Amino acid sequence: MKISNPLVTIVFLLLVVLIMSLGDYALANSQKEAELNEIKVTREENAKCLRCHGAKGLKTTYEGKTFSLYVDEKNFLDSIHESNSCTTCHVGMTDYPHSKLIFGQQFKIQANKQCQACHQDVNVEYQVSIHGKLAAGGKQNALCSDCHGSHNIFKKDDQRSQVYPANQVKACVQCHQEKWESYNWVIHGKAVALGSKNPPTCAVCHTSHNIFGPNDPRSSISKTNTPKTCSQCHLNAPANFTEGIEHYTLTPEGKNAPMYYTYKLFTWLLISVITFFLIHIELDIFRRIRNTKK
Amino acid sequence: MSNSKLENKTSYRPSWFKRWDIHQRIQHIIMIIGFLTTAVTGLPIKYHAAGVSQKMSLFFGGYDGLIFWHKIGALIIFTSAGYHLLYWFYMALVKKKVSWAMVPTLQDAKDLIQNFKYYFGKVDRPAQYGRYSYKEKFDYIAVFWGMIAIGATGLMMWFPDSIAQYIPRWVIDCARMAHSDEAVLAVTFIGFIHFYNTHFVADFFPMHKTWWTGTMTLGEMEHEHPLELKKIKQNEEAATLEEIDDTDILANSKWTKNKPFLIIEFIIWGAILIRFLSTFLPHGLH
Repeated sequence: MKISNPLVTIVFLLLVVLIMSLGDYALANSQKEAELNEIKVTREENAKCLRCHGAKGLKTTYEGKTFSLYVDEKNFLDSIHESNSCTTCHVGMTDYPHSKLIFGQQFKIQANKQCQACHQDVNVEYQVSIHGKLAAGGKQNALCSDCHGSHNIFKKDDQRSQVYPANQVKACVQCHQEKWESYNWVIHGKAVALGSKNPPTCAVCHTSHNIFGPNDPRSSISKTNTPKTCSQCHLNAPANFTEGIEHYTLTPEGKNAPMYYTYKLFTWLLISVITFFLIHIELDIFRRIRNTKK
Repeated sequence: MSNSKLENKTSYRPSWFKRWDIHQRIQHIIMIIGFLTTAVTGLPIKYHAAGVSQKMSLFFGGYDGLIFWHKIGALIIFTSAGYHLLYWFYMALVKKKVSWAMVPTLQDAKDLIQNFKYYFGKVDRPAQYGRYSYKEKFDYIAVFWGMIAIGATGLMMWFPDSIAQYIPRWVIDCARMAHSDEAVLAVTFIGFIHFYNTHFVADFFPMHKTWWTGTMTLGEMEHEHPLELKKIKQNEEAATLEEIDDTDILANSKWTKNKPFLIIEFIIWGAILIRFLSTFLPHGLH
């Protein structure tokens, strides 16, 4: 096909390309703008909730129990969910006075159900885990907010996060108190407490969302899986790593006995040797004092 | 290793007995450095909850720094021990001088009993020592024990995956117990007992110098190792010894007869004993 004026054609085509890319750019920008606008609206809406709920001491009573309604405003606005609207989790609180009130455990369960909407990948793991199964059965249990917090959620490498390694142990100990002493006493607990850069927190061995009971073969700490779990840090972990308990306590029973008796033996060795020689020194000084009388 | 040589300089200068050669002094200094390093980094790990431990941890760069320097300290101790073993072989095979001076004998038990009799005023003189008193022998042998109880268990914890090829993991947990408590014993023993014997005995307060100089005066020898001096006299010309100016520094030690000083020492070491028992008896008894 013969083009009447090549120069005009080229300029025309260039203009088309330019307009189309401008359009693209404008479209992307307007998408971003729309997002920013949405966040702005969310923040304005949240500010309305925080006008009351940001007041220290705000509380209510229901069936004889008192519930705090206070949300630390600064903390929340620093946290990672500040661009979420309050009603994303607290569905049904869209009106005032709040007509759809629920309290206590029910309230907690409802709010926690909303996490799935965005965090579907984690939810899949959680649902098959022992925590998830117990939650589905309605038992008092580790829901999302128990470990991650509610209005103070930060990324896990943020020092303020409840699942930041140095803080993470506290989250588990809320329920598993009996494990605290035995964990804190051994080197894993010490490494965490003293600020190790690769701290062996609970989640490192037990995983976080797909925790199973110890007798479940899928558990990261089952007999077959333990060496692999330990290999995360102890490169060549052999099968012998499973011979013995991780969370031992100093009691003379069962698998705890060797540690208990070793501890007692060396404690008494320490006491007897040092006491003997300190008495020796005291007597030496005593005789010297008497010698000064001459 | 009995290198006590009499060097007669002039009749007005003190004579010196060579007690520790340069190798022994260097081994001791290396041991001091290694021991201090492991103690200073190990105690915060053992008592990690204490405020001072958290501060020490920050100083060393967190737990990772503490354990790194702890291992360095351990390697320094192994160096001293290795040097000492090489020294043994060198003296035995090259210099053909084997010394049994550190081996405990029945005489040591008798010395201990005599000392206790002396302390209770039943006899007039304390025990007279040869080259090494029972206290020095205990100190020396305790380090051998420490190499096993602390060193070997430490290695088990340093390389748990390798050692667990051969032993079940609960043995490593027991090793932790042995390591930790024996280390406390070592630090307490060195800090309070060894330091009394070398710094705070009134006769040579504030510090006995032989670990550094390697020598002792005639007066010191007479006071602290008279039986060894006797043996040397039997081997040397008696005449040369009598010409020597007797600088018995011990008779001039201003602290020996200083009653307030001794009473303060008595109180301080008594307080140490009470504090020690109140800290550790509960662990033994609970």
